[in-house]
Amino acid sequence: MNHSFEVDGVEYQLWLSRCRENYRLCLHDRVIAPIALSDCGDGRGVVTIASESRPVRFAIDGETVHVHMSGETRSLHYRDPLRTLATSKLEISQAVARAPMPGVVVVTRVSSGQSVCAGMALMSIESMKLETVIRSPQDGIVERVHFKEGESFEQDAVLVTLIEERS
Amino acid sequence: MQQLSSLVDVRSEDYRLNELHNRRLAKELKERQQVARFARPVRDLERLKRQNKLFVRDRIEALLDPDTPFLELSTLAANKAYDGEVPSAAQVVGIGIVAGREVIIHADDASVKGGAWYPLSVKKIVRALDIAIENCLPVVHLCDCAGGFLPLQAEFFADRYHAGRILRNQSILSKMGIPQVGIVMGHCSAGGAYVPALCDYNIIVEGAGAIFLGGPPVVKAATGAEISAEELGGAHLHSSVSGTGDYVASSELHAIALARDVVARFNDPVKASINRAAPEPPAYCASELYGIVPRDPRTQFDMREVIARLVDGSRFHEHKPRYGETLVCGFARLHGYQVGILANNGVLLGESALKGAHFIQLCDRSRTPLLFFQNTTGFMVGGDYERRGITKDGAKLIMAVSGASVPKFTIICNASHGAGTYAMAGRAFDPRFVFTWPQSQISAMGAEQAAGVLTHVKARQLARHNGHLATEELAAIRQPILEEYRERSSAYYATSELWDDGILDPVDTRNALAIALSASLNSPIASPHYGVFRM
Repeated sequence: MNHSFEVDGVEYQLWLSRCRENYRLCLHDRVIAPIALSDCGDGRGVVTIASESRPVRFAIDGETVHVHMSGETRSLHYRDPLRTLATSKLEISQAVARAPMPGVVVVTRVSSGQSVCAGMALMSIESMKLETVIRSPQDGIVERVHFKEGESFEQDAVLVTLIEERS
Repeated sequence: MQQLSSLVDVRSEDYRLNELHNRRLAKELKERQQVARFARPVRDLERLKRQNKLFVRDRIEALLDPDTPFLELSTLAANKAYDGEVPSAAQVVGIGIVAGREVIIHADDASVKGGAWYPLSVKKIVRALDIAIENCLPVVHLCDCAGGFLPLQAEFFADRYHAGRILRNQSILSKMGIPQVGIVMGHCSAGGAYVPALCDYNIIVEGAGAIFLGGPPVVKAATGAEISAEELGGAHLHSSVSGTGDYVASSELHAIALARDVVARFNDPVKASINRAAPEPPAYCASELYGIVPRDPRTQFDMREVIARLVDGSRFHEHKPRYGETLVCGFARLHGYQVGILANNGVLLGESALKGAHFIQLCDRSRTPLLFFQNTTGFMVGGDYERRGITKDGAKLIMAVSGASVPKFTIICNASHGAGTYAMAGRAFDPRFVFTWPQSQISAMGAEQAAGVLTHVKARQLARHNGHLATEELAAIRQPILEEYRERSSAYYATSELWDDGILDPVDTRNALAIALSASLNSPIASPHYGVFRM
């Protein structure tokens, strides 16, 4: 599985592997070698691409690398395959907030018809001497709150049902 | 170390004819491998597409680090079985690099009979896991098998090395601390359900992947209940309810990315340290092997010519060159690793066996892996030799081969017959890997001799009833015996039955051995100790 970088909205698949000296770069069907970077510290270095050496300035900010070379500046964004390949499929089971354990409703914070976003507090429950906040699993509209304050429920009981927001 | 000087005349007529013959064999091998890997009925490939599944080869390509070698094993398994309808025994197995780690990959091929396990599929998976155990290699399983091929269950279900052994080997790997990752890319039912369950880590692909002991039709037949595969054993059930699964992936590629992330986190292996130097290519070109291996398998050839085309700088430090000359022994380097080589240069005699047993102990002491190059018709027979104790000396060689603690590797270059097969680290002696060259013949006795014996026996039985047999009648008996014997001692039959780990084009031998050597060093080498050598 190749590494993937995005530059100016274009995605590039590439792989850097060791060769006898330094590295070789496989970029789509092209192979460029040797590739080397000597880091002079302080965001400066010398990059060698196919035997041609050029000074380079760079800054790494999380998954983005800003590179200044030959009078041009580019930003390379690393596309983590774990994130880019995960397409979240919302399941019907996710459109409800369930009780993680048996307990009692302490306070409800939403009412039906209200729109909520993922992570918003829907209600507080008490169980085993602990208060727990039940949060929304996704964006949506509250269809129904199934228990009133003070009512008790079993484990896995549906506490709040959501419907998808219509835009 | 001295460089071997080749005596081969590359301009001779003999060389040219050998080359023509061997290049044809290599071409035929490549063609057969290509067919086993890629030729599938269109409807099977279309079914995969409909199910949103990648072809097994594409899955493996995505899993491996790009630009790294993949040593595929037993590509032609089952090529002589099941009317040739189960290419590669419906399994892809090999050693590759995933996130910088050497691993064994085991993948069900759903484009062949829905990935059903045939008896030879089971043998191939068990062998893959045996390799993992012997060499301490992590395993990535790409699971897409709906179960065993029931009509043949008697040949893969109950015995010691049958399907149960897959699960046993997985448990042993885990106990040894060698991690396995399973990706569930299709339905894993019955015994197949335990494969991902016994992995230390598993990933289920949403929609396509499912794990259950009995699939929806089985549940319906048993209890009358109607339930979908997804409800019965899909990704969400197992990852959030039953705990049978660890990670949910939204696609096959996402699952592969997750598996790579899991493998990347494994502890670095501590490799056995053996004598190593900077690698260098052989001084003689490997393609000259085509002209060296004789087109007639009965023609003798000097194994030093083969060694010169496989080892670093073609340098060879020969041990006892003037004693027991029918077994060439000596030290060399292969991709920098020091190795001890034992190669047949004729029939095994008492002295050759003694020399071999001595040399193996030297290598074992100095932690030097052993390479066996087989071209043997066996041990010499006759009263004189028996009086001088050839069986006793052969037993010493077998004792040394069996007892050696260093990794052993066997290449069957040409003939492999009789006790020679055994004494030269045949399959039964647990070499880490066995590879075969395309022209090899492997059998208890050579085809001509065996056909002679069998014809003689049959002729005697017939003669008892009808009197004497004419020469033509004898030939009519002999020919089919010879043909069947030849067929069942061919390299293709051997690899079909998984007596080896694959047929190699001779020019690929050096690289295959280097990958195998490197993989073997993942397991520690025990200190040398042996049984009793009969003196």
